[in-house]
Amino acid sequence: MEILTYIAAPLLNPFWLAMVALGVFMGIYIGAIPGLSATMAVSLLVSFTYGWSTNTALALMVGIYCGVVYGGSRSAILLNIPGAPAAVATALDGYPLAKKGMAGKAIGITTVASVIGGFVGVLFLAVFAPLVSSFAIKFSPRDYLLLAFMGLMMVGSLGGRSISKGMLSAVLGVSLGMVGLDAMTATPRFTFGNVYLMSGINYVVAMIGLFGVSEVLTQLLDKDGKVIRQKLDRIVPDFRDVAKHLPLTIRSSVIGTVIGALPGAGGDLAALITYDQAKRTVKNPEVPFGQGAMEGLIAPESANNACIGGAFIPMLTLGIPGDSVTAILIGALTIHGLQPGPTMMSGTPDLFYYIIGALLLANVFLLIFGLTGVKIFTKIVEIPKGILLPSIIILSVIGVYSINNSLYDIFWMVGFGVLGYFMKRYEYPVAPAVLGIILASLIEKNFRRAVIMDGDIFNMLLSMVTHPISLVLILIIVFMLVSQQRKVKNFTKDIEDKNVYEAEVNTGDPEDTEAPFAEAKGVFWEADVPEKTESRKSASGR
Amino acid sequence: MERKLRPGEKGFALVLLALGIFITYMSVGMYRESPTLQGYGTIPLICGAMMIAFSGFIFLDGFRYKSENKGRNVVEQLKAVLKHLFPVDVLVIFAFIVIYCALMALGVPFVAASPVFLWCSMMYLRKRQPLRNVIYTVLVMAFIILVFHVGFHVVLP
Repeated sequence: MEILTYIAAPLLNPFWLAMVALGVFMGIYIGAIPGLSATMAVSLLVSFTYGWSTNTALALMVGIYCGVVYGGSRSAILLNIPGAPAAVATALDGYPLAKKGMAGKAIGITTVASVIGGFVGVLFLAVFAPLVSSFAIKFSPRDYLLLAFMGLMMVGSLGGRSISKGMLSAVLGVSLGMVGLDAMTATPRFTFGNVYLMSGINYVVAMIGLFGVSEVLTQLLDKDGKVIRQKLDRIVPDFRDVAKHLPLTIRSSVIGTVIGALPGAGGDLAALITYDQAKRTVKNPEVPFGQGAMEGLIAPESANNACIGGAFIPMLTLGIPGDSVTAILIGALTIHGLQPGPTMMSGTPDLFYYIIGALLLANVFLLIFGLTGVKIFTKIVEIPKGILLPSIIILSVIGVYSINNSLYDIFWMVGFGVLGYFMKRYEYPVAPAVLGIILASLIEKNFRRAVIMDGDIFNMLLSMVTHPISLVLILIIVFMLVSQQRKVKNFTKDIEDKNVYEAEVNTGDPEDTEAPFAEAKGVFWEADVPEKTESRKSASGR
Repeated sequence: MERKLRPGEKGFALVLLALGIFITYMSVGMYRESPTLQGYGTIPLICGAMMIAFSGFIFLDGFRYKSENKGRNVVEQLKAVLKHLFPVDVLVIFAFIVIYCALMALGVPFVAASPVFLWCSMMYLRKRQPLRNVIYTVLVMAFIILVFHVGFHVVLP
């Protein structure tokens, strides 16, 4: 009964309810605008919601998160430009459907699939998070150290094409997190006598710079991208269509949730894997994949929304983010005086179930907003980058200034923006750097505790292989390291290449299918296009 | 087709390598002051060493690929790097951002500096219709002030 009260809290409080609704509404539009990601939106929100109550801030952030992940599909269907990386697979069949004058039907079925996926993800979160959490109470500092390392490694290696670049980015983040006074001895580190640096680098400033400003600079490289407007008809889907595809929706949602629960594996990976899985398992689609198959929309869309619930599992139970957005949410909760992890479940169960309630509500609002207001939507997503990008800079400036009311922070944000831009130009993922800054204190604290508890480094290393939990974690890390480097990377690359290639063959229009990938991966892919085409040719040869 | 390194890609790895060496050098000093594993220099030292290892690997790995800069002299290479990193649009907007921040640091209020930045950026990026850009600027500013300042009570610079 108590749990139900906690879950119903966002529903019973009109203000929290309104915040979830506002978040979903804004999220759909933010997600649909190419270049505005969930990570950027949530990182900006962290600064604006600094002084708010935890529940209000969470209501808005959860709403935005759900809205953005879904919103990416809108522009993928209508413009052939995924608003978010998680919608890359959606464009493959969504855009061909739109070209056939069935954009409304595509949006309708996508909305329902997303909502079902969202509900499945939340169900898994509600059932499995308490189990994981009760087990995680047995973790020692040594295990937390390994978990933090695992989180960094996963985000670092799965996020980009090079594991070493991802890891370097993560280590750079941890190093930046060391700036300031040492928490135990109050000795200044890397401050160079600068008073501003004594308090350390504010990760919200770094976050907005690395995600917001750098994205604006990167988007400038492709500021003249043209959009093709599509005609929209009725979007409420036929119940028979939904019922017919329900097994695929549920299956994809479950896969999406599991992938989402893996630290570092986000909606983009889930969408690609389930798209491939749908292609293998759906024997006779009404329309071939790549030409507007409904199954090609349902599988990735249900999976990427289910990922949200999955991503919350490691975040709330272990304090390890499932993706870059949950990494920022960890930061947001820390600002509000909470430390996500096993103790959070026992200490503040109300907050855990509140998040579940907010996620459930967000999915209800997703259904409402997803099936309405499409006419206005088509206008908003066509906002020229010339207006959009300077506006993001202004928002970033306000967001950063609002943290400490300091102009210094704005200059630091610009500096991080330039660093992030350079990193993106040379294909270094920026998310691990932000995660590194956030996890730096956790890593150092648990390293010290583990060394003190075990006496010295050798005993600590020895205990890592003699204690069952530590040993399992080490084995998982080793497995991840090996599998990511070889299997998963090749697997996802093959799926990507194969899907693009087959879509090209089916549509006979390479330009249409190239766009979503170039857009989602960022403009630095420009130089990779010949390589991709070449690999596709060799794939066809196989 | 073999992947080609972008202009400056190895150089960027080298910069990170230098940063790693610097962090390690500073951390060694810290470790000497508190030479225990739980001391405040240990984790920075590990980070510095890992930065050196990863950036060194990336730098050396770069020699496996052909560079777009191959066959060019140093000046041409430098030009290619600058062109790759700072296309004109990026350079101009970045300059606008710096000027905008500098104006606020010099005491120009947000409500005065921001419309100027917005309008100038829109004029540069859209290259037409100054009056229409004025309207967009006013709309964006009105939205920001109403939503963030009035609605969310955010303190503006």
